[in-house]
Order: sequence, then structure tokens, then C-alpha cells
Amino acid sequence: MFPFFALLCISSSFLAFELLLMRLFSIVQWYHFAYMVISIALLGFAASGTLLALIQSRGKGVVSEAHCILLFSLTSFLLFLFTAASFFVAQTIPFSPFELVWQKRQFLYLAGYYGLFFIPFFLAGCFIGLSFMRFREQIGRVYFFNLLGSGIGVVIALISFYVVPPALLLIVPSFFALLGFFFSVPKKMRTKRYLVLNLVGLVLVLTYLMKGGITLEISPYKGISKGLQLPDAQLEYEEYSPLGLVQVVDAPSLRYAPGLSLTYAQGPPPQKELFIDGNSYGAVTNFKGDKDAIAYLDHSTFSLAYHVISPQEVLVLDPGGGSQILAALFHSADHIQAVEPQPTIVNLLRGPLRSFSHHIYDHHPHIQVDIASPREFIARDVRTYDLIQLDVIGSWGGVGGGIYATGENYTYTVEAFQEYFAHLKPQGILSASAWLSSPPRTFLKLMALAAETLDKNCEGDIPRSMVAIRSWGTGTVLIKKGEFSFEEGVRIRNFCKERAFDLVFLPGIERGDVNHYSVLESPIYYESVESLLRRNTRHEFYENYLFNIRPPTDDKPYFFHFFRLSALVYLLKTLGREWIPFLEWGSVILWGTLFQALIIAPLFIFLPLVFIRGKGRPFRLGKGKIFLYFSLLGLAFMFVEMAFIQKLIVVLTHPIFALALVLFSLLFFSGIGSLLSNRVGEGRRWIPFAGILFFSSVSVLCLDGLLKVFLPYSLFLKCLLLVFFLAPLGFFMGMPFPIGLQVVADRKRSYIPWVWGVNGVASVIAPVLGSLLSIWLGFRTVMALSLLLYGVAGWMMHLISKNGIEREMSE
Amino acid sequence: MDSSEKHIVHITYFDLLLKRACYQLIVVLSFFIALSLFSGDVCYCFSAKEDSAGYEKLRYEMVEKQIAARGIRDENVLRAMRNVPRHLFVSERRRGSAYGDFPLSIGYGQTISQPYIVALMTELLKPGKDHIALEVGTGSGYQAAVLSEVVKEVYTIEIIPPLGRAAEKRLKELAYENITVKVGDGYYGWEEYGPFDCIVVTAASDHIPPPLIKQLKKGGKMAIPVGRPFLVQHLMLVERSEHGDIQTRSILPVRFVPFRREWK
Repeated sequence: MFPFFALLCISSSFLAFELLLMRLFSIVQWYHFAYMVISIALLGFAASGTLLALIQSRGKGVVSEAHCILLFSLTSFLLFLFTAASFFVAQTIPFSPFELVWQKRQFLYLAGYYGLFFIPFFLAGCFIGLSFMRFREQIGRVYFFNLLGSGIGVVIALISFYVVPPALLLIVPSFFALLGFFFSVPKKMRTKRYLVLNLVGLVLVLTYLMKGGITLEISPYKGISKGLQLPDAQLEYEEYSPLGLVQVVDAPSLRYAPGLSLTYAQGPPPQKELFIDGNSYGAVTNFKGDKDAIAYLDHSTFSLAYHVISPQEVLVLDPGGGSQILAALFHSADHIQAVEPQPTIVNLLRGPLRSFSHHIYDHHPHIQVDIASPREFIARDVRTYDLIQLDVIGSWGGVGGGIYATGENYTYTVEAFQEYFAHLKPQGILSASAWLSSPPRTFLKLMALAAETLDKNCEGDIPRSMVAIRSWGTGTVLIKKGEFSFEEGVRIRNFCKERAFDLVFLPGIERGDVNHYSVLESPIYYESVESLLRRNTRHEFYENYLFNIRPPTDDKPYFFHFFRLSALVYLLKTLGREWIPFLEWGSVILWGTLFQALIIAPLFIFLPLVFIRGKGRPFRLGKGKIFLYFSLLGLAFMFVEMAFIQKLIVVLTHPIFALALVLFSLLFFSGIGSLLSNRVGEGRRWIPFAGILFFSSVSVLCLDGLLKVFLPYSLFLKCLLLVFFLAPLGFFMGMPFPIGLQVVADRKRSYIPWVWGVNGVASVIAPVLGSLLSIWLGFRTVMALSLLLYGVAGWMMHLISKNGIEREMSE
Repeated sequence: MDSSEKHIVHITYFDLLLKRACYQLIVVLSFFIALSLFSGDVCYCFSAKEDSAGYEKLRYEMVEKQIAARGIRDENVLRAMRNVPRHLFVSERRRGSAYGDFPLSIGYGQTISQPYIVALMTELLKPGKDHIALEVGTGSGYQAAVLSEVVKEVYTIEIIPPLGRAAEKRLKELAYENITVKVGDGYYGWEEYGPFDCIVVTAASDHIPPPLIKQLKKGGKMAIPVGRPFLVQHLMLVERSEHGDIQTRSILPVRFVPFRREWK
């Protein structure tokens, strides 16, 4: 059993390393750059196939047990060293992703990153690939331990996010790699030298622990770095969880008043800024019960609703530091329901910042707070409200350089807005705000979202139920369950006039009413909203606009994705390099990653073939079908994973929980499927494919309904139910790979490293391709595509088996 | 081969491979270190061999190809851009790239804007020889230096002490006598020398500080570059009319229109 335990430990270490690395990168840099670096470095997995093919060819097709043990121990020990060391060294590289465009040196730094992280992935790939070669008679078992280990790795990573400080995170995969090293050598071969190495490893782990881990070098361009370098700035509080590293900075010069009117003469009272993973999450304002001190909140566009109606029941979604709650208090709302998805923020406001924030979350007579995502809360809430208030979305300065373009957001989708609208009382208002971007896109998309919500829910005249205004920096749109009256229109006009805000749309508005204070070359918002409000012109407007302003849906929940492929030629032709400031980094990174992977990957597909020599041809049908079979499996497995993760985000509140649950369930049950795969006879190889197609189809049909049923349950119960729901699909998904590999092992074992490399390449390309497909075509299409890929893979298996039988018969 | 023989083979291979692996690792790592050092040296060599005349030539080229070509017409602004030695406002190792058509890092998460953006901002302020200007966010001091060539006096405030002190020293060494640097919080402006004809705010967070609006003279202009990090997406121009009314305009540094129909 010893090598299987080692395999289990190495697989756990590898997957935990990947997840923890992503977490650390999110803290020190930006998640999306991390994604690119890790994706490319993962090609190390594919490269391991090349090395294994080389070793195999040196050993003339046979790798002795001694060789194997030597390689097992060597790769696992090096993996132990490199998990923490790679990140430690990477931090010394002055890589600045935003400078890539004009500083060639940055490409060298990026290559350094790739090289460093390539090593641990390569080592893990060698260990696992070698296991398949060494125990080719028990491939199902090897795959079982690999998948089980990977599943455990996910759980380990999730627990580590809670209990291990970020600086010490990498000790976890290191330790599991060391355990792998310990188990990689059988008892009879445990020499003194081997024991010394184990001891050295332990000493290194202890030293690392005592030293307090790695000092995280956070990018100087992140909000937290800028906040901390202000005079007299202090890091007051820090807490970590899977949802991010929450930090509170206190500095006298920190001030947060988004889009404050230029006519207002005072600033906000003292504040403390909140950061999650180094990015600003709003500020907590020092409120002592004196309403005058928070009067500044009444001078932003988001306060408009309070001047139209006098809401008693207010629902504030994603309040962050609590500005919107204070705004509701300022306007004397009787009952304020806050929904905050970050438990740490609520704990902070109930604990250390309790008195600073005037105990808004701690037994306040007018405020109630729920820890949930807006979607989760609204699905289970049965009350209705006078006002539902969403905070200002985006940021001043071009939505963070478009870095979040490829990030999902389920709070701003057509389905979400419909649910919010359904929770309004008659004459109630839904208020949503956004930072304006130039050229206009963010606020236009928000208005399109509001218009479509009204279109689907409003019984009256749509243009009479919507109002939109803008300041120099922010825009607010109101949609009403009912029509805005003439008196309300007058109040809106006065609100804007007093604060130098511009009207964008109002029932009865005329062209002369707009574009007075924040002057645009042409009144584009006013002109656009006219088209957006009418069903017959809306879609034509979407089609003709330079940016993608089509409202997001749950199937394509990308609010910040504005880039249109069809506009690319125009932008390049007319703007050339001038377009760089408007690049949507999130999309560029995805395309860039795919492009790089497609350039490098063929190397790892063809190189192993150079080393593979042997007598006779392994298959009459050639390598093409085998290549296709394993590539399709790699792609389809990942596509299913991605589609389920997306589906479960809403029900499990946070992406990280959805990721952990789906990965664990599918990997664990795939492991069991793999273990039993040897029982699938040659003539019954269609069964796993039929099982996958059946259970995938069932889940596609039933999942939405089931999720609605699961939504009100506790997180634990939801997880348990979902694990059982995913179990049969996972079980069957674990079979095709070992079955295919067993076929290869039985007929021509020297091709195992090559197949391993092909699998590695597919697992790098699949998530990137899956993300791009989901952005452009939606998750439903990705899921459907995965079914198609499994179908074709099943057909390939049929052809391969048929060929095998024919070959045997001819022999 | 019995188990003890296997054992010996194992150890020998182990030692050999370990040594080889270490050796190869050292070679690979040395290669990377050498490459990164070399890349730094290349930039430094380029910068070191350029004399001041060389920089002047680069600066003239910069004004012609990057600034005038993009439509900046104000002769005073163009002259100022030709006069201010931009390379002396960046670290030595970045001097070779000082006249490139891009922003540069100056440390502390701050940048020196792309030359064209500096010129555009200066032109938008419509500076006059008798004007008094305020800058919030001195950074390297480059924008203040450019402004000082076209106005009477420049007051500039930097909140990060090391940056402010370095800029003060640099501007003093370059004999910019009409620039006064203060290290402090620019949120409150500099009432003592206000009101100002022009204000540049390079360090605005999420709102325009009300005290700065107050310190803007009637007929005065305030420019705020928006977009981060490194790249300016648009400029916010705040104008106070002769009657005291405030109006803002969003200026795109590039010709983007049309957004609708015609682009297809």
C-alpha cells in the first residue's frame, strides 16, 4: 500500500498547493494574473509526460522497481522543497502586470514566474504519471488514490483558509509532500540517509513555522498598500477566511464619499477603510447618532429614492462598510434590513468597531442584519419592502482597468432584479447605482437591466416607472412598482438642481432638461435610455453599441464584461495603441492564457512521441483516436465541473464554497467509479458514458428546481444534499479515464506517458476555454458541450474497442 | 539481486540523481538570475550613454510625435514640455525610457503620467502667465515643473513624505524657484495661497474634495485624471464660471466616437 499512500499525499499536496497559491496571489496581486500564471505553470503536468517517456526509453521500456522508488522519493522531496520555495522566490521578482504592455522586461519576469511554478507542477505530474506506469495493472486503483487525494486536497485547502494565516499557508502542501516522501520508500529500503532527509524536512517545516512563514509582498498598486503608506496609518484589524483577508486601516486622511455632490461644502466624518484581499470594500463611518455628521450621504445620487418616497421598510443589499444603512437612518427609516455576505465584516461591526459605528449591527432598534448573499436572502425572504437599495457598483477610474470583466456577479442579473422587484410593496422602489465610465458603458448596462426588469414585471407604462439621474461620477436608476407621479417628478427635479446632478430620464422629460452640470459632448445617456425603454429598439441598440451593454443573466453573469469581439477590428483600426487604457484586462488574460497554452501545448503532445519507440503498431486506427479520446475526456470533465460550480454559487453564497463542494464531490465519487472501473467488461464500455449522459441530463433538467428547494436550508444540509446529488454523476465520470488508460496499458504500455501528457494539456486548456465559452455563450452551452464531448469520447472508445477486437481476431 | 543489493543500487542512483538534479537546478536558476540582471543592465547602459543633448533630442521628438501630433496646439504648453527634463524625474534605471509614450513607476505605487496626458491636462487648464496653480499629489514633481513653465507660481502638496521630500529636493536642484512643495494632506488644499486659477488633482479617491472646489477661483479650472493603475481613461475638468457656478466635463484623451451604428 505504501506507494498508494504516497500518491494520496502527493495528490492532496498538489491540489491544495494550486488552490492556496491562487489565494495567496489574490492577496498579493490580482486574481486574474494568478490565474494566467498558474494555468501556464500547470503545463508542467503535461511536461512530466515527456520526462517519463524519456526515462522509459532509457530503460528500454522497463522501469525497474528501484528506479521507480528512487524517482518517487526524489520527486516528492523536491516537491516538498519547491511548494513553499517557488512562492518565496517569486516574490523577489519585480513583476508588475500592468506594465506588460510597454516594458519588455516584464515578459522576462513573467517567464520567471512561469518557470518557478512550473517546477512543483512538473514534479507532482511526474509522481502521478509514474504511478500509472509503475502500477499499470491496477490503473483503476491508482486513479482512485489520485482522485481521492485530490478531493482531500480541496478539503485541506478549505480548512487551511480558516485556520492557517496567509503567511503560513504554503506549509500545508509542503507538509503533505513530505508525507508523500515518507511513504514513497518501502520500509525495507528506508536507509539512514532517507531518514536524515525526512528529519531535515521536518526541521525545515518547523523553522518555517517559527519564522512565521513568508512575508507577503503586496503589490504597491493595491488599495491596502496605498492606504498603509498614508501618514499615521495603522492596520487596526486583520482576519482571514476562505472569503478573503479582511483588513481595517485607520488613517486620518482616509475619506470615503462616493460621487459626493460638488455643491456640498463639507467632507465625511472620520472613517476607517475596509479591505478584502487588498481591495477596498468601503469604509466604516464614525457615527455617534448625530445626523448632521452624516448629511454628506444625502448629497450623492443614491439618496434620490428617499426624496421620492418616505420608506419605512428598507432592504440594503451588500452594504459593505454601512454607508447605505446610515443613509436610511438619516432619512428615519423605521426598519432597515441589511444583507451582508461577509461574516467577518458583520463580526467586526459587532466587535472591535461596535462603538465606532454606533453599534449598527449590534441590537440596533431599527437595524437587522443577515449574513447571506443577496440572492440567497431574497430567495428565502417572504417580506416586502418600500425600498430596496443596492450600493454603487464599479469604481471610479474605469472599473479597475477591466480586471473584473471575467468575474461572475449574481447580484446584478436579470433574474436577480426580477426577484428584488417581486419583493417590493406596491409603490415601492428598487434603487441601483453605478460609477460612470467613459466611454459610457457601466451605467448604460445598469439602465438596460432596469428596463428589462420593468419589461418583464411592470403592468403599466414602462417609461412612467423609471427614473435615472447622474452626477459627475455616479448614476442612479430607480424603478417603481407603480408609476412616478407628477409631484414626485418635481421633487426629483429639485433634488438634482440643489446638488448639481443631471437628469437622465424622468416621465415627461425633454431634451432641454438634460446635460447641464456634467456636460457630455452629446447627451448619450438620455438618448440611449429612450432606445432601452422600448422593446422594439432595445435589441437593435445592444447590437449597434460599441460595448456589450446587454444585461447579464444567471447564465452569463458578467456585469463588467463590456468587450465585444465584433468591435475588435474597429477598435484596433481606429485607435491602435491608444486603445490600451481601455483594454479589459480580464478578457485579455483569458485570451492570452489560451493563446500561450495553445502555442506551448503541442510541444508536450509531440515530444513524448519522439522518445516512444517500440515494435509494431499499437493500434490499427492510429494514435489520433486515442489522442482525441483523452483530450475530449479532459475537456468534458472540466466543463462539467465549471458548469456545476457556476450553478451552485447562488445557493452556496460564495464561489469558493461552490468550488470546494463540486471539486470534492466529483473527485471523490469519480475515485470510487475509477476503483470499480475494472469491473466494466470490454463489451460494456458504453455504460459509463450512458451513465454520464443520463445523470448530466437529469441534473440539467432538475437542478434549477432542486436548488430553489434547497435554498432555505442550512449550509451544512445544502452541502450534504448536493454531495448526494452529484454522487452518481461523479461515479460514472471517474470511469472513462482509467478504462481508456487500461486499454493503452494492455496494448502498448509505452504510450502511458504520452497519454498522461495529453491529459495534462487538456486539463490546462479546458478551464480557460470553458471560461471563454461561458462568457460568450453561457453556462448552459458549456454544459451541453460537455455532454456532446462525452458522447464523442464514448464513440471513440467504441471505435478503439472495435479495432482492438478486430486486431485480436485477425491475429 | 537480493534486497541488500537493491538497496545499494538504490542509494547510488539516489546520490547520483540528487547531485545531477542540484547541478541542473543551479544552472537553470543562474540562467534566470543572469537574464534578469542583464535586462536591467541593458536599460541602464542605454540611459548611461545618453548625454543631455541626446535627451534633448528625445524630448523634442516626444513633443513632435506624441504631443503635437495628437492635437496639442498651445505653444506655451509645447515649449514647457520641450524644456522640462523628464528623465531627471525618474530613477536612473528608468531614464532610458523616460521619453517613451507611456507612464512610468516612481515607487510607492505612484506613477509619472504619459507625456501626452501631462500636456493635455496642462492645456485644458488654459494656464496664463499670471496664474497661480495648485497641485494635489506632487509625485515626482514633473507635472509641477511643466506647470511652472506656464504660470506664475505653483503650490504642490504630496501626502507621502519620502516622495514629497524627494520631489522638493529635485525641483530645488533644477532651480524651479516658482514651485513650493509641502508634505501633507492635500484634501484641504492650501488656503493660505488660494484661491487658485488652476488646480490639478492627481490623487483623488472617490470624491472631489469640497475644500478644493472652494479654493478654485471664478473662471478657474481643475483637472483630474481618472483611471488606474498607470492608465488614464478620461480627464475630469471642473470649471467655475464667472458667476460661481460649477460645471464638469469628461474629456477622453482619444478620439473614440462613434459609439453607435457607424462603427459596424
